[in-house]
Amino acid sequence: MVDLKALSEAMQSGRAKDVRVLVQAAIDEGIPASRILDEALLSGMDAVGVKFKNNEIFVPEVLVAARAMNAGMEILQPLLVQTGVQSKGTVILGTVKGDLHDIGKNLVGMMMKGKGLSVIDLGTDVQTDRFIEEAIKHDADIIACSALLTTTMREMEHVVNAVKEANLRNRVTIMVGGAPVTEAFKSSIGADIYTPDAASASEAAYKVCTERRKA
Amino acid sequence: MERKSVLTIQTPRKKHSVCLATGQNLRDVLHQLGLHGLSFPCGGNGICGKCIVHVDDAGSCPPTEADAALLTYDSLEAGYRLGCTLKIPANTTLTITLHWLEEASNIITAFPGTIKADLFYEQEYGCAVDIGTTTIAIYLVDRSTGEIIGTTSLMNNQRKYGDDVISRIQYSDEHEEGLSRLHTMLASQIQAMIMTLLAEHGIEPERVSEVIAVGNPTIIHFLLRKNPSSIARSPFTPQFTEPVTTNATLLDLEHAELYVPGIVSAFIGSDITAGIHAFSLTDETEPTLYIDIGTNGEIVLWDGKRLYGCSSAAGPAFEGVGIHFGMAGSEGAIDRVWLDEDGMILCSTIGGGRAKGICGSAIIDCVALMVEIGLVDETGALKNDHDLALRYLMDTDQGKALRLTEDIYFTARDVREVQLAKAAIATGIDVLLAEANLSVKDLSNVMIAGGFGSHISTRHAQMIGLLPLVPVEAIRLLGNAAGKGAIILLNTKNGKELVEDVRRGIRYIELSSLKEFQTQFVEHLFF
Ligand code: B12
Ligand code: FES
Repeated sequence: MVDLKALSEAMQSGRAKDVRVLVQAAIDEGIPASRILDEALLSGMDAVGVKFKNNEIFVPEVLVAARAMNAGMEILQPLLVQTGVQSKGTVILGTVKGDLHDIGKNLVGMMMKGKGLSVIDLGTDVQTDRFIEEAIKHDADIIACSALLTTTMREMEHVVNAVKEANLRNRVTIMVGGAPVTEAFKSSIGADIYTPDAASASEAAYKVCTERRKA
Repeated sequence: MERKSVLTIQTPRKKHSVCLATGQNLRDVLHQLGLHGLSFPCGGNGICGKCIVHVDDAGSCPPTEADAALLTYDSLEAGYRLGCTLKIPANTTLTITLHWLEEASNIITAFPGTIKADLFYEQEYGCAVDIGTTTIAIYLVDRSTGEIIGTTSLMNNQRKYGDDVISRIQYSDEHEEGLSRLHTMLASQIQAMIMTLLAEHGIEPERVSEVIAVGNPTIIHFLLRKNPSSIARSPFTPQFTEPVTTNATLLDLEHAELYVPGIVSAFIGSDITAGIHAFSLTDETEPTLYIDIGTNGEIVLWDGKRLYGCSSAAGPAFEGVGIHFGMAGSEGAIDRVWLDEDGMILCSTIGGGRAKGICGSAIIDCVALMVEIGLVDETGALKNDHDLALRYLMDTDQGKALRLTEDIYFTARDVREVQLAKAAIATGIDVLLAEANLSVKDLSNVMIAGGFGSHISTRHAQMIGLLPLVPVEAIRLLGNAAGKGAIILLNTKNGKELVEDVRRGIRYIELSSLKEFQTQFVEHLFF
């Protein structure tokens, strides 16, 4: 029997090769893909998130764990599609116009994937309109904007306004984050959710999506 | 009807009483009163939590959202508030105490070596002005001999609009009179400093024939009242790059000329080019690195033939911002941390009094010490289960932390902030070396310019990976290299031309457009 806990641990410590081997073995043994996903990979990423929040691990460890998670996902993905497992929600993610910082945004994306959400990462220096276009195209639940400069965080306000203009305000939740962003700033521009780190960002996003699915 | 409040502002030096319309921002009130001592490190954005003031009537000032996010329940109850979000309440008599009012600290104005001079003017004087984001240093030079006859330095008053240049640009962008306020504040401070210096030496202002001003591009924009907006936004370009010669009327010196050398890029300015010229970097025959560590680390590499330059956004961790007990290097700051023979932690404090916080040099010491003992592993994680954990760590509301004094400690999160800052600088150095096809072992010299570099333990800086691992003898501390460069510009015939050569010679590398940056940066997060 493949030990899903061991798989989860291999993922947490970033051993991508082991993850590939164990995922394949688990599939061969007939463990359902969705169970491997939930009990090994997603729960592993949760644990990574908690450790990150507590300063026990840092950016490099999250990145290698995410790489290992992706290695496992590559094998699982086709099976999940086959069995019709649905995405738990869709997030449009990007760093706002004029800003090229993406390390924090990438962590947010990885943790959201680790919650089973589909993440459409638009990269950096993303024009306001693109957030809107992609949100419509993918029927997204959330637009998540990152900004690391006190000057570019103002761009987030433009995104909020553009969402209003596109009549999407009731359909899309707007999340904002990045080092200079605060709860007060979030309220002042009329966005919905701010969180200080990637782990809590993914939790908040997950909550939004599941509540929406229930409704 | 407009309601008024009576406000008393208590600074360590003096009491100021004013009657005010309510609803005014404390920051604006301080500005009107000319009280520049309280610093607003994050530009008053309610992020850093370093602008704490005390109000005697806590009930009349309900905590703002930012207060609630950054201060503990106990401190809110005790009347502590963030100065930047505090609004003067209606109909009250309130006393606000400013605790962190900083006295001018140990600003470095010295530099090694003699000063070149081959241009002499009888009966004339010159001023060399080095404008830093944090400090301003001015040298008064007797142009008949080329010698410095007086020096003065102060903290830059503009700091109340933010510790880093981006915050100041944001202020200038978002306020109608922003640019002219920042310009006037800077120009009048420099003017006042020069006038004091002249008065001290009994020299009439008319005898000053030239002023040279060097500084980073943003500061120079503010000095010349040029809008620096474009520096803070992609694609990050300055308004101008050529040198400027103008009349020094803006410093109230009608008889003098003001010369401002050119700009390399949005974040590399004349403080760097002048410093490079002052220490003849391009005369070195072997590869040499020139670094100025600050909120922005400016890094220039000379490979024996060419100059390569970049600026790396380290962030303000080494200035104490984002560090739990971080503070500037002023009175009450722990500036050195070391172990005695028995392994006890010892600290020294600027001014020798009770420790109030930790400044940059000690921040580096703390991390180096933790890495050396093994309290922090190579990933930067704090080892709770370490044999010596009981001896060195303490429980705090921030989790386990390194105990420095009874109530001052260094947290696990602080280590993370230092990792980000040092990785940014180290990656910048790597990128330049790679561009020149060199490696660390090819470096025969590392020159460290600027005040911060002069205060730190270079061994500790190497230990945490902030500085490259070259033999200690290869490291040269240059002190205020920019100031020296400005003096040489006053004193020599071809100095201006040579500094221009340096500026034009630097191949500027933009880090944000490098794909490999993230991989290398992440690699450098390790110890
Ligand atoms: C690395 C870095 C760079 C790299 C970026 C590489 C990259 N690919 O990202 C380089 C060198 C290219 C760079 C360039 C610049 N930088 Co820079 N940079 C940094 C640095 C050192 C670390 C940022 C980082 O990655 N942190 C680690 C991550 C994990 O944290 P994070 O981004 O905050 O993300 C976390 C949370 O905020 C949250 N989060 C993030 N996004 C989101 C989104 C949502 C929706 C949510 C909910 C949460 C969330 O989750 C993340 C994980 O927990 C900081 C200084 C510092 N010590 O913080 C400066 C800093 C951000 N940079 C700064 C500046 C000024 C610049 C430049 C303008 C200047 C320059 N010298 O070149 C350029 C501009 C480039 C551009 N066009 O954007 C300033 C900003 C100052 C200000 N007042 O705004 C800083 C603060 C440094 C400083 N004080 O000078 N920089
Ligand atoms: S929190 Fe007030 S200046 Fe930073």
